[in-house]
Amino acid sequence: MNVDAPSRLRATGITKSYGAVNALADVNFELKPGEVMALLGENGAGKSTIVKVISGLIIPDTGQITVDGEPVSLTSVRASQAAGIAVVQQEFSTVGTMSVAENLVLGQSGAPAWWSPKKLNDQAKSILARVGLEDLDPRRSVDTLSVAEMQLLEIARVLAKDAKIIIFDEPTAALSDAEIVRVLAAVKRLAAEGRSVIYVTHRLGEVFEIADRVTIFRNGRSEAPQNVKDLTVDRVVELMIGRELGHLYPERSEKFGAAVLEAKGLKVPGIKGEINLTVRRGEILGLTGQLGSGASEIMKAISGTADVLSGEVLLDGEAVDLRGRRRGIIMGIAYCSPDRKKDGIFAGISVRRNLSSPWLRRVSRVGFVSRAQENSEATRSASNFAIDLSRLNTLVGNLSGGNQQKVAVGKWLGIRPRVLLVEEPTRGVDIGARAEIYAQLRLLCDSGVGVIVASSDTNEILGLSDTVATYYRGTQTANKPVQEWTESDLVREVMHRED
Amino acid sequence: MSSVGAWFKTYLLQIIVLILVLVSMYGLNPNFHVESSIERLIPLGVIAAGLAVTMIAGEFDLSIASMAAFSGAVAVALSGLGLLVSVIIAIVVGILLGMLQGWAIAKLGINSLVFTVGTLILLRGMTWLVCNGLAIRVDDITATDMFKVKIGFLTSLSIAGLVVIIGLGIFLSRTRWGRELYALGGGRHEAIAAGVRYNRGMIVAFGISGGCGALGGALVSAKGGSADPSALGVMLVAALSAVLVGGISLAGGRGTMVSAFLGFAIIAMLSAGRAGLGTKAFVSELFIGLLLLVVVLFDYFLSFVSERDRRNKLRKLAAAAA
Amino acid sequence: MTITEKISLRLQDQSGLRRRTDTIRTWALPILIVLVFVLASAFVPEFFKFETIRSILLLTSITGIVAVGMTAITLSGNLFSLGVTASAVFSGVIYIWVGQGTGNMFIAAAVAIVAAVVIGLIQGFIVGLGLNTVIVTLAAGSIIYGLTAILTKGEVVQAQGVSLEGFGTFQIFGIPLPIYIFVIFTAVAWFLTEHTLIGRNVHLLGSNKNTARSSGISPMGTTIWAFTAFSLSIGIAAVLQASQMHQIQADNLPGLTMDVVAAVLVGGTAVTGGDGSPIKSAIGALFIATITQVMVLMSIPEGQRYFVLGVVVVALVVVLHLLRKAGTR
Repeated sequence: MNVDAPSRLRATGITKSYGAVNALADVNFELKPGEVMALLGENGAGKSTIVKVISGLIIPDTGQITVDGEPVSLTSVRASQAAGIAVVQQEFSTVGTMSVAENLVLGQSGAPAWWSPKKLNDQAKSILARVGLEDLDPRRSVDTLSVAEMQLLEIARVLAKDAKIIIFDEPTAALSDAEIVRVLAAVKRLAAEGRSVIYVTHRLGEVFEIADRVTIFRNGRSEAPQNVKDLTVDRVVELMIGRELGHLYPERSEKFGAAVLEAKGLKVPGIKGEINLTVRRGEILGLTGQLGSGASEIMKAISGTADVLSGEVLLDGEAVDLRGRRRGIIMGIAYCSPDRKKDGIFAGISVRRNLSSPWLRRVSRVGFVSRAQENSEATRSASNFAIDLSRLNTLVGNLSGGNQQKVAVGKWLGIRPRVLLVEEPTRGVDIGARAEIYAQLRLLCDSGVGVIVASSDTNEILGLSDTVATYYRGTQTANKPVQEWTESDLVREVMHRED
Repeated sequence: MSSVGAWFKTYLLQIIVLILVLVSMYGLNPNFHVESSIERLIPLGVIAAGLAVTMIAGEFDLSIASMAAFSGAVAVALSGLGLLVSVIIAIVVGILLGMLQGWAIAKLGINSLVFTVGTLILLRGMTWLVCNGLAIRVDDITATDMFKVKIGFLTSLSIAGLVVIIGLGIFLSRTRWGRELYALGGGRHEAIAAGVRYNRGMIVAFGISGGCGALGGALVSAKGGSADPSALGVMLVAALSAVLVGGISLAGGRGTMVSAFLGFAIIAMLSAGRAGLGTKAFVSELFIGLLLLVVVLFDYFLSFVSERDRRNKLRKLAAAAA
Repeated sequence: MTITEKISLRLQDQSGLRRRTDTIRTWALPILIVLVFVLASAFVPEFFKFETIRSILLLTSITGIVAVGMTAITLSGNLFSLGVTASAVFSGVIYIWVGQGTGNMFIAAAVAIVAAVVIGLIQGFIVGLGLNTVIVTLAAGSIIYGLTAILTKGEVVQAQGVSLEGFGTFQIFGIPLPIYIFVIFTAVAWFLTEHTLIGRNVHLLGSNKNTARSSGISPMGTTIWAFTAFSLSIGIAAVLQASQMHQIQADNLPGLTMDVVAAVLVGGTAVTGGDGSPIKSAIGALFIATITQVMVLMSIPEGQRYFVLGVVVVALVVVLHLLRKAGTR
């Protein structure tokens, strides 16, 4: 990388707001030719938003972008691709029913009109070798591949294009060590060819291994880029956090009752080894780790949403059979998934009816729903979660993210839960609603419910939990009361295992 | 796995059913001729092919049978210009109308099932308008003779139909536009994220569907020299059954022209066979329905078993690692 | 970007817009009916007469009852059933046979309705397993049709020496029974949808199957209930139809399936599920019957009637779709 070379990409004054949420506030971003620029920052800090702006998925409210000195208008994915920008996304862009070879040419602007299998397969082999997949039969259909192979294929797809700027969005989340080595080698090769790489990651080790510079995002703002060789791990962590815990999180009562939920010797797909967990009444247990760490898999297993391979779960001392959500609900296990749009809310249905959906049976007699009872219970749940009572008839899909999340969590109050499992409780939620959700979780907890929160936001886990357990690549790495953690310890534990 | 073996395995179920039907038809009726039964119903095959294309793209064109009826009417109504000319005009009109449907569905973002329910009624109405409510005939019946010229056991019309079906097969398996239809059907979000153009895909898929519907209808009218406003009413169910029995998935992204043709062959033999036996039409409908249910349940059973095997494998792995 | 996405982006005021589009969607069809009514009374001779209105309502009843029943399936996210005709004819045949055998039309009606429910439950179970409703009902329709034809040997089934027309011809205040039954059935269906646990679950299941599952709602159980309601409507409609026609044959009622589907779509129930109501489908059936009758009175031939109906269905479906999309985030 030539330090004095003009910028390959320069973004100035980028702002993007969603209602009350400032995803990006006056962000400046700069990229040189032939360099690998790492993007670091906690969830919600703005990394993925700036990536979406550059790739044309989001149009910023203000700001300008130039590529190689020329101003560009990145108003669509096609425009961004025309400007020479390619993205290796977190969500896959391969079609499972088609073969590897076909997926490599799918949608590419220079693709031929005639697709002879032989030619496609030969072409595929050479591209696959560049990501270390030379043993992969290009005739296989993509839905037979492992997640790791699919991720490498996604990278291979991008290599097939001839982009000037390539963005990698957390490409190694599901990969093994050997596969990560291949990815990093591919990235280095791209930079050596004179292309510019933006590398978004949570793994500090990778940053120090391949990045030339790093831009750190915090609260929607970006720091000026720094040379990696001038930085240490401690300094990076310092730059990433530095938010005061402040009054966002309610006070802890530190009064714990008996154990309400115990997992003993639990074996779950995606986790190596056995899980042992205990949550007491009145306690908030925080599980944290990045994508693929295993925290989410545990939640799904305990809630009955995913398989339990072996081991047992005890509720108030009694072993329970956790197959299927229905059983879990009857026994008082409430579960909020991380993706409320997918399975947390009914977007086309009113707030009141969303709130009552898990406990309708309780307010029905002989199959007839008692509107009065439903209304009073729903009103109670709504006021508990600071949901505007005048909006009980509004469709949940028309509420802000914060209010939607309050409905997604609040609806479980009515089943009188013994344990509440919440994943990513404040994803896509503004500060105000976040504080309200935290307050309610604490109140719920104080009333004798055991709460398990799984989140990739270390600040949130630290502020909210009584006990914190960390996960990394499928194993539990620590489980200590919150007083024994500092934020930099936590960040380091979660992100930087290799020394 | 050798490609011949793989090919065989994909179509195994259909081939077995086909052989069973063939054997039983011959067994029940010594006068049964498989070639003529298939030949007579080539129009159904063409319509099934068109239906298969939209299904592969993850959509539904319920209006295809009505398009066939409409085309037949147009071909006969314009036969004064020369039957061959009017047939070609009818087919072109079908393609254009189909493309219009595809464009509308893409632009509106509307569910194709819902939209084509409306257009199926609309096209049927247009058929009635063209026919003025009565069955219409060509003025000069000898004009149809050129379509009845036989080469082997196939008429020139049937050959045209077969050529189109084969052409579609090549289109779907070897061309970029054809493969993009599979992508749109097999993983729409992913395909669009990869850069496949959704609007173009819809216009192509529905244009082909309209064209096939038109071709099928024109074939029937050209051979018979007449068109009837209420004709081809059962075509939709027959075509749908052919496509599903052949193994084209409702979810989209799977199946080939070979599947559609196999399914069509099975249905054609069933229909022709029972006609040869002198039994009523409903008998073959009954069997077609049963067949459909069997194929669909079998598919479900297969996926159920593979899911259960996967779980057991995971359990064994977990126990072994303990 | 689709037209619908452009429209929703342009109009940013969500809650006010939502109220407006909802109001338009709910009242568009009733207002249209009133409009057609007024125009027809003014310009079409013979329209504003008791007999005409009555025959419109009678025309609506059979399709309307089944449309109300089909709404349960559509609301639950299961699209529609394409096997309406076959089940209705089968049920009608049972009605006439049992009526002939027992001489009692009430018993005959009960047995016919039970028969419809049984074949509906089987389909509901298979759909509940996860199979596609369109295929299952299509296949079941073919099988039932074939069975009916074989059992009746393809011949017309008539009640000999027994009068089974009561249900179809009985009148109160000059209005035939089917119309009353249609109205009552619609009212009951609406009440059940709004006030019972099952009705609510049907709505929720159609709105978001994943969320429903994670809220403890059983897709199998709910789907079976939806099919039960639907089959009941078929049984009742079949009995009324058979009563009116005095006879039935395997090939009867060929257009019923499409008429019912059109009524549900025109009524405004979303085909994706979770949005709609039985009353809307009833109004949809009424609208189609009104326009049809107006055209008949204007001596418009069958072909043109069909064409106009097609245009109307397409136009309404498109407009309703645009309104729905514009009113949501």
